[in-house]
Amino acid sequence: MALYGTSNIAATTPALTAVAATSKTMLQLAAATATLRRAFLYEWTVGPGSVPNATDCELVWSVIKQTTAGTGGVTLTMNAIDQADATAGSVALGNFTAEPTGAETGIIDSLGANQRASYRWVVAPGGPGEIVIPATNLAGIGIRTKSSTYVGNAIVGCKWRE
Amino acid sequence: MHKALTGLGTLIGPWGEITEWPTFTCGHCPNVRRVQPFGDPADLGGLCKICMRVICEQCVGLGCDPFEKKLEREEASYHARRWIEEVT
Repeated sequence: MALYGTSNIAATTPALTAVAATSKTMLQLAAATATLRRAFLYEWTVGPGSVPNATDCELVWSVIKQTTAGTGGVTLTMNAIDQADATAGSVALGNFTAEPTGAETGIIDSLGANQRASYRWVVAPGGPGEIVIPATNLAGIGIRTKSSTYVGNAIVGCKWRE
Repeated sequence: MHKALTGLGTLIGPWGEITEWPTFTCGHCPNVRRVQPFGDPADLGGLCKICMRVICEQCVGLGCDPFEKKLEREEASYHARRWIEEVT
């Protein structure tokens, strides 16, 4: 069992996707054909990445099942938590210019929170309750956010095991 | 029932206040649900008496279809399509 982690700040270019009134995927974790295997998401963290809007507002977060990679995104650096472990077989993508495919019916978890709030969800790695990504090419989990007013960046991180 | 609450959601509010919720992941789909500690178990959704897992309200009454079986079907479908594409 190897544990991995990444964040949408694990790439400098292109720039982080700004939050908008429609949901924007900040981070996507997906299976890849070349190294096909299941991934077990056991932690995700979200929070604002810019100064708050002068008008107090909300950020709506959702974790959603996705079936394609978005376009214009970049592969994020995936770090093995134990540096002795091999490179991750999944692929983490972020900073898309066009959204990956994912229906609202595929929402796994959602949260409405203040623009100044942050949230963390965690289960014990290897234990029950992990979110499983099937070993199917480009099947994955996306973490998205939207806001009626906030237009800054959002920071999203996740940890998983393979 | 507490054994079913496998996760923890922590919200740090705008003034630094910390709110924690136990969560469970549905045994029939990957939905994550936050629950009130010591709340009414009926509010959780339900307990599948076949696989003995807590399930979310969307899966109640739909029969026992554990998430692992769904994964296996999805992966088998993918591998079959991939095999056909390689052959043709």
